[in-house]
Amino acid sequence: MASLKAIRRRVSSVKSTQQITKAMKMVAAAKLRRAQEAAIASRPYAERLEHMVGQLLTRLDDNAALHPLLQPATDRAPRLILYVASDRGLCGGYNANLWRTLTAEVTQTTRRPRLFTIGRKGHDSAQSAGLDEIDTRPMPASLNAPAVARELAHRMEQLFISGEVGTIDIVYSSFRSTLSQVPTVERLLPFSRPAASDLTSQVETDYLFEPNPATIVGYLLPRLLEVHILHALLEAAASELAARMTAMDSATRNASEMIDRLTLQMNRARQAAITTELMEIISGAEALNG
Amino acid sequence: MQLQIVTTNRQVLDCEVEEVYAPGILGQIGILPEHTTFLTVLDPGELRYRQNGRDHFLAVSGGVADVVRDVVTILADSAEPADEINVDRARNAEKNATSALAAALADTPEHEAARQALARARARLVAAGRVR
Repeated sequence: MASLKAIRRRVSSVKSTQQITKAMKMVAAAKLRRAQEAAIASRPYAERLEHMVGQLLTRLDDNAALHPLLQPATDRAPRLILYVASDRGLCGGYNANLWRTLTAEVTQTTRRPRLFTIGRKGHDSAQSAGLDEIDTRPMPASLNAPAVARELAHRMEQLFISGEVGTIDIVYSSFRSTLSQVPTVERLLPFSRPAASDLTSQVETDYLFEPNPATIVGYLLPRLLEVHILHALLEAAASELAARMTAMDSATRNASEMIDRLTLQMNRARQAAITTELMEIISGAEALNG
Repeated sequence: MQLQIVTTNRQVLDCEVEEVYAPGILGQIGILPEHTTFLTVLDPGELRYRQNGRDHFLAVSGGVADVVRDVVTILADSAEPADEINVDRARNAEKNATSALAAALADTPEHEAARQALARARARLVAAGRVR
């Protein structure tokens, strides 16, 4: 059995680890609330924009000629995947789950896809797996997310229009609840024409477009792309924090368990030491009496 | 008639109004009840709406306006009610944009960005001037 002193030392070390994990859990929980609010606040704009674009596109024939972002996907150029992971670890299986989804996507694609990574963990994994990474960015804080989304949207638009890539997808973790974050793959570009059946019920007949449909589409589509990316970034940020919170919560609980176990061991060791000492005293006294 | 103003990060407004004036890309547009179904791009500028006989002002920095069955939806890049505008900041932004515009070569992205920044700053100043 380990010495009493050694066990004491371990208990205090586990205790200080527990303090850290508890603090990290608390920080993640506080940040999560803000991240969730940001994700929810961005929803009305996204929904209305989506609806507007849908209304517009169902009304116009020959979408592809209207805007380069509506050009149908080509097989000639490689696929680009925008991979949203985290900058830091200690968030349970968050990055591992995302990576599994990404590798599944990569093996499905016949041509080697290109990769644009967000977050250092994504960058590191892409490098060690030897994937064709064209660029990387750190994961933005939710306050910075709109600016980063704008920059990324601009970049994606250029890559797509120049024909350097044929399709663009985004892989990110969608936030369902604090306990469930689901890695998700979504098509960013080209935009697909909404299914006519979704919209016919609410289609207005005489729409007036000012100055003309092409200008409006030219304004709306880049924004829609931006909103899609922003949505993914905000959901990813919330997912990461939720994963970290859960991971740190179970780490704190594990530490408690370990402290209980060590305390029991420590008490046993102390008892044993006392018993031995008593035995020694008694047997010494017996020897003198005898 | 219902007016909804939504920006990327919040719903700024959702209320009943009598009339709306917005900075359309082809010039000022006025929207009254029973307006035809209509979709247009907005320039940076001042947006005015009348509610219970009182005028209210906002600065919008570009967006789109959609009118369907007496519901006016405005999706703006940003929209600030006149009384929330920080005049000093807007004035600073105007100064910076003016010098950036003078420094940039015509027909470059920088020139365009400065022109838009200037338009946004002016829109904020005009709207803010209304409350004084």
